[in-house]
Amino acid sequence: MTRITRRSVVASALSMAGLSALSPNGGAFAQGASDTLTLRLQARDLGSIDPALTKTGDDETIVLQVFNSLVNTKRGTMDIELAALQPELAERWEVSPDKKVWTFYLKPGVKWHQGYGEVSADDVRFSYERQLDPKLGGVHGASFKDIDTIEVVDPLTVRFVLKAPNAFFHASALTPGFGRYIVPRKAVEKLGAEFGRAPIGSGPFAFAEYRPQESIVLKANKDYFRGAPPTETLRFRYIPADNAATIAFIGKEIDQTSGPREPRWVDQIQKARSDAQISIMQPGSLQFLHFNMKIKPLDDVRVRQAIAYAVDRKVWKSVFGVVHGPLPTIVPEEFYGALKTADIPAELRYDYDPIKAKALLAEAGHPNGFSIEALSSERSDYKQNMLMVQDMLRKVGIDVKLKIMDHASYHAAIRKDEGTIDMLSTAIAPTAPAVINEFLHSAAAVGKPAALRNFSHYGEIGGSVDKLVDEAVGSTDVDRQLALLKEAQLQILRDMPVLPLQTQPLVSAIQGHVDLGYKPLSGFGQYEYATARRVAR
Amino acid sequence: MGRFVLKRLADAILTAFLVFSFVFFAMRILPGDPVIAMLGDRANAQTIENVRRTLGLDQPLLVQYGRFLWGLLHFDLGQSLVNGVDVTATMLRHLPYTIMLTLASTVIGILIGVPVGVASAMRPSGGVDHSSRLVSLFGSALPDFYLGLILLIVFGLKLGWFPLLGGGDTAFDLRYLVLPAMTLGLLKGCGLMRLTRTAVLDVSGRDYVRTARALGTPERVVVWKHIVRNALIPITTQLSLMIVATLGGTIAIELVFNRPGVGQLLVGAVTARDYSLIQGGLVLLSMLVVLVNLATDLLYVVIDPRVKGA
Repeated sequence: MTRITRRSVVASALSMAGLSALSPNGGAFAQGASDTLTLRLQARDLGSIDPALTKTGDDETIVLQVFNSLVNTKRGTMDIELAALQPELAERWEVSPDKKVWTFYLKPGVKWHQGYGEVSADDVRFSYERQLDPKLGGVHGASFKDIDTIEVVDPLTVRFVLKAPNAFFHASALTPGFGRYIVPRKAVEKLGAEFGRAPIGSGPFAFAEYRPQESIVLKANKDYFRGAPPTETLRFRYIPADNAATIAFIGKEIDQTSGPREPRWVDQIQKARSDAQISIMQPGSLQFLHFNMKIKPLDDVRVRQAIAYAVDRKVWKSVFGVVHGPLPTIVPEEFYGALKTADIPAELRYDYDPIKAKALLAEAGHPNGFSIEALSSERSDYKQNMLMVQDMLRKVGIDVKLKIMDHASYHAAIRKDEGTIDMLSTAIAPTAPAVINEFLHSAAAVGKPAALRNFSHYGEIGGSVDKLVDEAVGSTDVDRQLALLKEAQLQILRDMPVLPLQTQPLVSAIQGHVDLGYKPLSGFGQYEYATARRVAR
Repeated sequence: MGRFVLKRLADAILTAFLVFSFVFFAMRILPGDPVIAMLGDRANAQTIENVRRTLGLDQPLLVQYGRFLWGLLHFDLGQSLVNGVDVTATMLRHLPYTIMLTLASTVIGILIGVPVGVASAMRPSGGVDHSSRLVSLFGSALPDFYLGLILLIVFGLKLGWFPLLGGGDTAFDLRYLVLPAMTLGLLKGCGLMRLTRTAVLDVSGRDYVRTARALGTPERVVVWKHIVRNALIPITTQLSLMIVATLGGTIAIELVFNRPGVGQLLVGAVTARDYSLIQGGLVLLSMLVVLVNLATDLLYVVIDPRVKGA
């Protein structure tokens, strides 16, 4: 039986009106000014565009245009090899052999917007230290917990001394995203909370206007130290509904839009705007299931392994097509320190094997399976995955009774440890230690004072890779470091506290007449518009 | 008349107070945590507790309720829990978009629904009656967002007559108002058409109409003075209900046209568990609803003075 949903009704409305075959001839409202790019934000409104207080990808998009970090990855990539780092506010740097002291030399003469002076080492220290204060209310502070002191050596030299050697410090604390931007002390102290709605940065675009739930306008920074951007104005518009954004993109009223992570959306855009540039950025979101090891029978490793064998992860590829990426372990292969698929022994690959799943269940004392209640967010990426898992587990006798709730309620519930099999769909800094420390370190277990997102309680009540990862982070020998991380990921596969499902890349479309000035290859879906321009096509 | 207005005003104030209290406690009963919704799933437990304390959400419920009422008495609806924006300013910025849409769509609905309904009732089972009943049935069955999408695609995307997105720089920008107002107006017109027809048919059979006709009163006078005027009470009631529904229930249309109205604002606030914005929004909306009801009551008196004594 075909289920009729609002989405299917809308889809039929679109096809009824011949949307995919339309060649819009409306000119009056179709094109923005040639010096303006109009870009979509999917959120309903701004949270905060103070880099220390961002919580959504859309806020991060704005921050990326307004601020700079100390160093950067090669534009359009997530390549965080130390040797591949690119200068940003820091024009050069030195790292002590034990990876404990990191010294940065700032480019002289970089100006803050609106006459707030020049970027200084004191601003760098301020930008990090304020995030270490839990009273600030930011969520990025955990990335900087390894910092012992930040010394201002001179106005243009800043030195980070870490509590312990950390070969990943640049990846977790220095490259753009997740609070790793430099802000002007003077402006933050003067503007207070208003800084989160009208910030001052040093980046290619300066904040100009915010209209609640409507738009944010940025203007080109003519004094930008890497050269003024070719586009004068960026207008970001809040468009929460995918259908409205899709119609606006096809009508060329906006120059860029993200879309639902569905292959049919990609087809629809390609048919309606054949010149559009479709960008599919890996890895996007990591999607996996946490097994709450405090709950019976999930406390039994054989049961968790049985579930892993019962879930046919190949199905995800056939369902999601171009918007699917493999996730053989909890760390995507694109991340630094990830275990490569070829290095996973056959017995830890958990290829679909319902017979083995049933045997493991019988061995664990559940020959007829069992019944378990599980929570799920109503958000489509959560619900869809959970429904697929539910269907597959039913075939080996596991009856998952799903309770679907709104996204806010779901997160509140799993924070209170009310979940059993908890699905997560999330982005994170691209290194193996970042992923493992956030989701599987004992200190990150929910209920602990510094809890992050360890909903399985792995390391707290059973199994642990804390020592392996801590040692890897402190190791200055790259081979040793990678070996330790590999062993940690193999151990996680043996203990199966989480079942990785897939990565879902972020999908967006950019009009054919827009040239970003670089090719976006990988990332979390935020584009930098410093070099973007309209071109004749 | 003065006593009547005062009595209605007192009723309105009591209603508003009950609504405010209901809204406050209903939000707290809902599952979900505004701090977690606000901070996202990356926040650690310590930060969550700090933010909860900063926002005063760690206080006993009655203390929070007292603060809420105290703020209301001072016309202070507080700041958004999510981004600290002033709730009153936000609401006052979005409300005109909703009010304009409500007024424009209501006018369109009246212009379509009342004359066609009257014409339909004057010649039951005639051509106009059959056609209008068919159209009205079709309109009543059509979801508003579906009609909105069709109009948007045809008149916005294909013909390029209207912009595709947003509400314009001000709520009075007609280019952005036409399509959403037409969508709701057409649907309201369908509802009013049926109601007007029924009301007019009901009144047409009354003795005083037959008497007027027997006395040789011109048909124009019979229709507009004796029939339509007396049919106005149920039509006015229906109109006020439509206005009330549009004030708070235009979310689908606002999403389709990305119009920055109150419906979309409130849905976003509920999703984010932004207590201040929800409370502020509902307070202003409920006050508007109370005003509409008050105006309707007063209009009854104008239409039918007997109501005053009731």
